[in-house]
Amino acid sequence: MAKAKKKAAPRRPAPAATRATRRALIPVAAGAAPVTVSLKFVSGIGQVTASLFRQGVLINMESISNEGDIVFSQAQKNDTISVNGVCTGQASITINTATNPATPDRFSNEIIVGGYIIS
Amino acid sequence: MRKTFSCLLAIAITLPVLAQKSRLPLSADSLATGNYKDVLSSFFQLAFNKFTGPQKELRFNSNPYAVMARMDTSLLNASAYYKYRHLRDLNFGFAARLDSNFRFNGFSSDVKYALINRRDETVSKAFIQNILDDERTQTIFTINTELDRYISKFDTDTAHRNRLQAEKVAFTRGKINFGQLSQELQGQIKEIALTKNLPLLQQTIDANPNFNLKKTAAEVYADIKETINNKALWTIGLADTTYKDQFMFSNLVLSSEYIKGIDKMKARDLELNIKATMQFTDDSLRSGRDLRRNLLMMEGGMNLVLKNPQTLKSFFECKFSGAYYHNFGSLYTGENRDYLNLIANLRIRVYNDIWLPLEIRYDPVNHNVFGFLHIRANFTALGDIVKGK
Repeated sequence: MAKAKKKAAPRRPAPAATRATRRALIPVAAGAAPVTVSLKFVSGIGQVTASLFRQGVLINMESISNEGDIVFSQAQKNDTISVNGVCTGQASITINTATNPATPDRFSNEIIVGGYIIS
Repeated sequence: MRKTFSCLLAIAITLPVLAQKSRLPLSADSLATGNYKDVLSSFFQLAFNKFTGPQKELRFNSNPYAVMARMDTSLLNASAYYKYRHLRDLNFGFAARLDSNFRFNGFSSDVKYALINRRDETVSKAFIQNILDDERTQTIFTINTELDRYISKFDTDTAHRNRLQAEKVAFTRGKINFGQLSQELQGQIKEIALTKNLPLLQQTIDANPNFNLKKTAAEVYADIKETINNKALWTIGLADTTYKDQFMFSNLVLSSEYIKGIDKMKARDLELNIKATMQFTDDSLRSGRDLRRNLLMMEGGMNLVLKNPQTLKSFFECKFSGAYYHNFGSLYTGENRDYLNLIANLRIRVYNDIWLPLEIRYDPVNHNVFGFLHIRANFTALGDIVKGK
């Protein structure tokens, strides 16, 4: 029995993705790879926003309101990850690649302010 | 007997110290008042009450979450910590009562539950939002983000970039202040204030060129935490005491206690404290053991908290209160059905979380004065001693 053909879903217009636009303007090196920023909160809760900068341009920005990972899929050497947030207990930030300064970086009952250059 | 008691006390203090050696990252909540910690303990509290009086008491207070977290430290992770927040509102305690010769004189236990607890900022999403929404926090975040953006421009000049990064890291970690930054980064921060329209930053730099970012961030956090510390706490509880020769209740006490900060100042706070108890105890005029002597107590007072203006930690507290008693049962010879007591509670913080409370009671009718000296220690503080903090 022949199935009725499904009506093709109308294609959404491509969103004016600022992220894509920025990526197009900034050259991506051949060595670009995902970089994970892991956040762990202990004896309290917290909220963190991480931003990825390349040559003075914001490439990507993500927030997390619980422990977990923020993944920047196209990070590369010399990019800077800027981290802002707050933790009510202890917090640790770990980036899964070599950075300046090195991680894990720890915070305790405070406003979180950090910046890490991927080296 | 004194020797045995001393050994027991030493063991009681040492055990939690050993537990701390396993690096339990417990919250010290050291900005809480001693009065608050006596109403609801956050993790563990060891108290030696009335140790100068004839009826001494060695008491241990905790909550189910603290006990569970000692067994399984993964429960301290944010998701579990938040999930089990209501378990921390439940306190239980055990006490051994001792006579003047340190002989066992009965056992007592209690449970207490916080019906309203708006003081635990560690699980308060509103507290986090208040910090994030604060204009000073936004300014700190903008400085951090914009400096990172600026430094990321020097991806081809690695030496210069690394020098700027080292300076910026030292600045955000509070190791150097604004005046110690290079002219380049000082200029950048001034430009951030202008281009991002941050009048607060401009004013701060103009007023104090040596402002410290980390210290400012800590002040913002402590300032907003102070607002939480003034919120209401209402507990209800049930306590009992057994006879020394029989596991039978000699005393039952139903209690309700409410505290709320009513004024917040830089160097001192004022806290309202209302307490009511209904006590059921043995009527010794009747033969046998019963709980027919009923005593109602209502106490209202104000706790004056003196704080260090820099750290915002209280170091001295003084609570003045009046207590009204009404006896519903049969009266003993010379006893009044209704009477009053004036009470002064002085608390001195001898270490981070070790308090020395002195309680003085005055009976205005019979002109009698009673004094009790206690000692209360938070186990986290003992952990800090071990770590040499």
